[in-house]
Amino acid sequence: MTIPLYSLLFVYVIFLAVFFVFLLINLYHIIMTASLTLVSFFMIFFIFLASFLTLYLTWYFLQGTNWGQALLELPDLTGFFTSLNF
Amino acid sequence: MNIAHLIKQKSYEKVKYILRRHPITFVPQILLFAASVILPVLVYLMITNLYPALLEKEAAFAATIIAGSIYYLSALLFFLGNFIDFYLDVWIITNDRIVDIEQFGLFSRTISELDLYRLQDVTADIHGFFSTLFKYGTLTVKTASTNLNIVFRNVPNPNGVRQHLLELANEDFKYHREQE
Repeated sequence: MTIPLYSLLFVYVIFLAVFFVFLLINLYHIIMTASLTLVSFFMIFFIFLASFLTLYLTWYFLQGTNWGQALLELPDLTGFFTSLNF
Repeated sequence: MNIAHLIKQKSYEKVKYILRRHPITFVPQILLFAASVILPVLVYLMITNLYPALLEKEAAFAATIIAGSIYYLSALLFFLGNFIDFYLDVWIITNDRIVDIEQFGLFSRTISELDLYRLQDVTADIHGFFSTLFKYGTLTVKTASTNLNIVFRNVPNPNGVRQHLLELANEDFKYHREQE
């Protein structure tokens, strides 16, 4: 049984969705409590800049990766998957 | 949204103080964030020196990059959460009342207020080395008639605020006595 490398991309996309939801909740809190000052503006700016940099570097290092290759090859101990013979 | 809208400011009311925690109390969170940023770099250097073959496979490298990306974005989110917890604790003092807004994590906030003329006891507590050095501390406001106590945690110049608060309370008490 093989776990393909692209399965990591699904995990990553789910994580990114959760990340952006929490980021928006934080932003909403700052606006709704009248706390959008110079300090909080710089903090948000820093967080967005660092997030953008992280995403850019992730893309930069992963471009050209062959996502079809196997991440893990688990031994089929029961012989169940080989017996299916798809 | 502005402060006036947040506290539903009355026409005769003037905001005297908007207090937040002293910035120095956020320094441990900054140091924790800096350590969490440096840690994976050290682990990466250790792995490349001890087990150079480990990251040579394309799949292992891609998995490491994705794990690193998730880790750094999580660290940023955690840091922002700590900042929200720190920065959204606000104490607003007007010439009529004290409004205490306290944020606990992301999904919990307490807002309470106290009329200045009911104020009976104000205690400023500067405790510890850093508090003494950077002049911040805790201000506890108590009333006679209710069980409500408002605690201003780690605010700058608590003694100065205490004195001004007592003056404001005195003025408000006189105003309410004239009204009766």
